[in-house]
Amino acid sequence: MASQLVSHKNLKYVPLGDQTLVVQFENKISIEVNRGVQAFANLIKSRKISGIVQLIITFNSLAICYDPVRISFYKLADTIRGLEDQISEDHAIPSKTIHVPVVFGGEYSPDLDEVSARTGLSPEQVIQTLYSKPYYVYMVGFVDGTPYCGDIDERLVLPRRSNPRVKVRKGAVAIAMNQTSLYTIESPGGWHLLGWTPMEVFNPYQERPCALVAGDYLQYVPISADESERWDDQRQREWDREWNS
Amino acid sequence: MEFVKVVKPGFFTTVQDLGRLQYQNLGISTSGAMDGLSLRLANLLVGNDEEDAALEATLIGPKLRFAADGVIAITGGDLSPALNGIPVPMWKSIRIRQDDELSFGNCVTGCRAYISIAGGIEVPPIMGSRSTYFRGHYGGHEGRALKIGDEIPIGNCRFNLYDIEGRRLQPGAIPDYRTDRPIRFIPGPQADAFTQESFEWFTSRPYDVTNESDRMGYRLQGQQLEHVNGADIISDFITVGSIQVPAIGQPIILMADCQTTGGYTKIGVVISVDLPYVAQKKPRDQIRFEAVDVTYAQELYAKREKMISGLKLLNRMLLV
Repeated sequence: MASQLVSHKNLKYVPLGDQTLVVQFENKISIEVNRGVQAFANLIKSRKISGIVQLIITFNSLAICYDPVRISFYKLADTIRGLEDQISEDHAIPSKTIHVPVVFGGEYSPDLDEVSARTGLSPEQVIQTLYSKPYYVYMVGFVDGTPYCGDIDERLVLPRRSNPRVKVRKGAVAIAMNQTSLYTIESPGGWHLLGWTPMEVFNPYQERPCALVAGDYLQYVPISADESERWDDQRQREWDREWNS
Repeated sequence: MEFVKVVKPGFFTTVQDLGRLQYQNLGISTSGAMDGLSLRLANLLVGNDEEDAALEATLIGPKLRFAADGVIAITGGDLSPALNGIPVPMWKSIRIRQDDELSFGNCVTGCRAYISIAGGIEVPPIMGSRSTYFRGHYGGHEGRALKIGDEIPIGNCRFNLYDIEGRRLQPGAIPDYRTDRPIRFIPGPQADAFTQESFEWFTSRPYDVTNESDRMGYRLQGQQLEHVNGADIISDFITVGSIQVPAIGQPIILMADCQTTGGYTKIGVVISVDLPYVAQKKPRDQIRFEAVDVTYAQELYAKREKMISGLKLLNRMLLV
């Protein structure tokens, strides 16, 4: 008997323009709600409904892009609503854990001292707390495969920086609110930077451009500065064989 | 034709097709032509597939020299195109000879012109598309806008050039960027996050397009809108045409290069058939919004797609 997910009650079906339908789940960030979104996405995928172009998972909603010439908003909403009762834990995909090598300290952790001062934890405690457990990937969004992961230890929860940086280095490992993320390309950013990874979690030229997808787990693994500076494709392949296969 | 040489790049000219529609679940911006309709029509006029890559010129067009004989078409905003200094018509396929030069002058209507070349632009596809995403430095020609001296590779044309030269569109098929018209949108998904009064203001007062408007989004300025319970939501999916309203109460229309998720309330989404008219707006132009329902928007879309299907059929008949 498939276990029912309680998080799919009272779903709302709303148009996001004329080519996207959004299924809104409970208005909160929780792994349970997000797994409900995952499960519904996989259930819909398995039905191969004509006209659906793409499914996008976010924290607590599922966006369904479709071709309105092949299926109207109301027809699609009816079809999908008809599947609601069949959402079960079995449809939540088996998640994988991706281990990401991270160098901590010194120039790699520009906000470590500030986070330490604001949380009352020592710099060592801040870092150990961050890499002590895997984080659930709620969604991949914003730009170029940015993963939104959580939940971090509540002692590390801080609002975003009041003064965002104009430029954050690609590979920066960061926290804000109860989330952690990686900067997949150089960009402006307001999160607190606690480490840096030489691993390319986003590469537009690969067949699978993103190492992480929604529903995965992310685990930081500390490495030395020396090792990070010597990181190359071969080392990445060895790492993936050892940790990520 | 092997390539087109960039003599002058213009203000901001990029290679675009219809974008990366299958990768938004990985946080990949769709990119693609801002005015997708004009790009599709430009391609169909020269016998290309509608999703082939062409050039998108912005405000000031480029100067291009053709390496061989061929056929081109220019659509979209009127940036005063000329061939070897002589004005040429838009929305029509034009025969060009080796070493001909295409240049542009004043921006008369709209702001984005599309230049298609029979055979299409043959830069390597990245994640299923040849569109330039210049913020991520990938796609298009070396992930950037065109520069002086660039040689843009062109594919093989499937047709005899004389079969596709001089083709034109039915007058009704050409979008009219000159006449003032409302931009229609479907309210939601957070239209109820605004006061009733604000929603009425939004649909009754014009908004100015500000200088902070580009391929990522159009920042508008007008009557300030008020939220009932704040402007922030749990980040969710955003699509091209989404009208976000952050706490300052001024709307932002997200465009082709927008991010895939966002945490601001969306008062509505511009309907597909009106997106080209937004894309042709430039700073200091005005936008008036009009709410419509999703069924009506989908009827308009189906009607437009039927017109384009007819043009595609004509191209297939040429191949027989």
